[in-house]
Amino acid sequence: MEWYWTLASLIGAILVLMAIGLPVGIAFIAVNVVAATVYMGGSGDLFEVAERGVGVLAGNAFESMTTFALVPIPMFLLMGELFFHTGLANRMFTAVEKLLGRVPARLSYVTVAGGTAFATLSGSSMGSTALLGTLMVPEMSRRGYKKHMSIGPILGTGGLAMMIPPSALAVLLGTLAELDIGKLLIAGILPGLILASMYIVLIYVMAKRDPDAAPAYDIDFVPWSTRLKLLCTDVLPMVSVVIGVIVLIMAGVATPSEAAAFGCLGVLILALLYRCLTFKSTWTSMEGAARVTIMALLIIFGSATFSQILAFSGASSGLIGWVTQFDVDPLVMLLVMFGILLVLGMFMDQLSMMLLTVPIFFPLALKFGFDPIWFAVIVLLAMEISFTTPPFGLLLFVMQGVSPPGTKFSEICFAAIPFMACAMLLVVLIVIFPGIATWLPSLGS
Amino acid sequence: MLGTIDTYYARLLRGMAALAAIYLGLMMVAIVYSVLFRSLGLEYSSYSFVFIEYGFIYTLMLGAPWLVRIRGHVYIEIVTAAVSPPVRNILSRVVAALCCLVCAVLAFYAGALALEDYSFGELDVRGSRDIPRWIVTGAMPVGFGLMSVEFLRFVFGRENMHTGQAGVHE
Repeated sequence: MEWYWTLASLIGAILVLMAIGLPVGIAFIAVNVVAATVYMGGSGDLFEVAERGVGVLAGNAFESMTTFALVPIPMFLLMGELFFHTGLANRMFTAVEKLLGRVPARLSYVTVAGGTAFATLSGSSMGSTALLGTLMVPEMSRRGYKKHMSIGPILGTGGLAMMIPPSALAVLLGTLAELDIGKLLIAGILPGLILASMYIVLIYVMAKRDPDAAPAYDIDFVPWSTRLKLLCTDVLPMVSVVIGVIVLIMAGVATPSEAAAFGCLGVLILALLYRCLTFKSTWTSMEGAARVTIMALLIIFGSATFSQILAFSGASSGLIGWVTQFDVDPLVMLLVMFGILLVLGMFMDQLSMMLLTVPIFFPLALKFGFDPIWFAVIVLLAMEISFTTPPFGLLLFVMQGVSPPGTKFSEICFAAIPFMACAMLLVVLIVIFPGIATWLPSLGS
Repeated sequence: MLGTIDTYYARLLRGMAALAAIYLGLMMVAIVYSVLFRSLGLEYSSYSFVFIEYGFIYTLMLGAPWLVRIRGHVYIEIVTAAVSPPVRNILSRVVAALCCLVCAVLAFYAGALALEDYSFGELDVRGSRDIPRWIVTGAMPVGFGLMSVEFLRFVFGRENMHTGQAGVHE
């Protein structure tokens, strides 16, 4: 069979199975079982061929899942769950809100901070959007905030979440693409900070241009001494745990897996010190982390053989050979891949997008001479932008589901546009100045 | 009678999922232990690495059947949301049957692999230890077998696997 038929049938089968409602992991496994039997089963009767083919699949899953490199995924998730269920995160957000005092649109800034933290640590943009949409939008509407000032920041934080460590999704991408996970995590810091700055400037400009969009309301004045105390007791200790994880990785003192485990320990110690560590909060956190980890592991199990089948069947090399024969400009190639991710994000979650595209995109990126870490940062951003791109981005629909009654879909789309424009601008900046993504990792030990 | 079996079976799945959660917590303890002891120049058991690296297979196989029951796996509703409720009812059961079949096939062949590992005394060298491979591969037929049973419940049970609400469910 020609490589393009193989590629089309493999990807087409996965898409069809996903569209009719098979769990993503099972859809991959189903296609892998058939493809492994066809391409890796050798010859003989069906039972023998299937035994060899599925044996290879199970063996691959065993090899790819019994690895230390996957450890940061559950550890980052556990760290995030502990932050939230012990109440440490809430304590920090309350403190940030008080620290901001009477700053106009301060709830929008708090939403950016809270949304970033929650989405980063939970590894789920959809979960974060649903939670913040339920919690913050009604409160902000009650305070007279216009829709674009309440909904926009929530939708924007998804992009930040993918960038700023500890990002479980970045670890997963690094694992699937066989990248240095520590470098990828570090690579996200600078783009993440730039994007956060863009959001802050955007909210400032929007509030300045239309003060009624985020009306000021009276709050008790918090003296500077109290603010300093709040900063030292309720903000810095929590932030230092995250920074500690980053420093451990950057300094080469610990691997990302070890740093992630120490991050968990740090949160536990903090919770103990603040006397908010209960059996219930610990148990709920472990259960929550396990739930998302298992969900991700089943998909990884299914994906273990997929890239091998693509290579084994000649689909990967066929596609790469075909693309490179046209002498395409690398920038055009990047745009094509970016466009595909945008389209996929309209009806797929990030995990599925990664599994489908990583085995094809990363070999292509290497062929075109892209720095893999730089390319991974762009892929992460593209996936998140696609989630929020009007009119079909999935997060827009999630937001509509949790917004107060009467919120129009067009309002949600218009609220998303400025924040998405920031993320797009960041992608352009990273393309023009690759150092934004590659400089920090080059400093690490 | 069937109700009692179902109750105990549900408790078994719930218990397995709870074990998966506990395993994750213990993985953290194992990493901290090995790093601290290594940094202090103290001797530590290399079994901690074995425990951590095997953890993902065990966690998945322990928790995945429960996740099927609570519809916790990621799935997308496009077609099932677009069709009428009677058609969705049939389609959802067909999809569940397909999932059941896939898991059963994997359980069968993974079982064969585990048996082979056991019969031939296959070893996995990990953390400078020789570990019998069936200890890990043996978890796969159990996990996929129970997942297959859970999907079968959606084929013949009262509830559908799909809600009919368009979008990605996770």
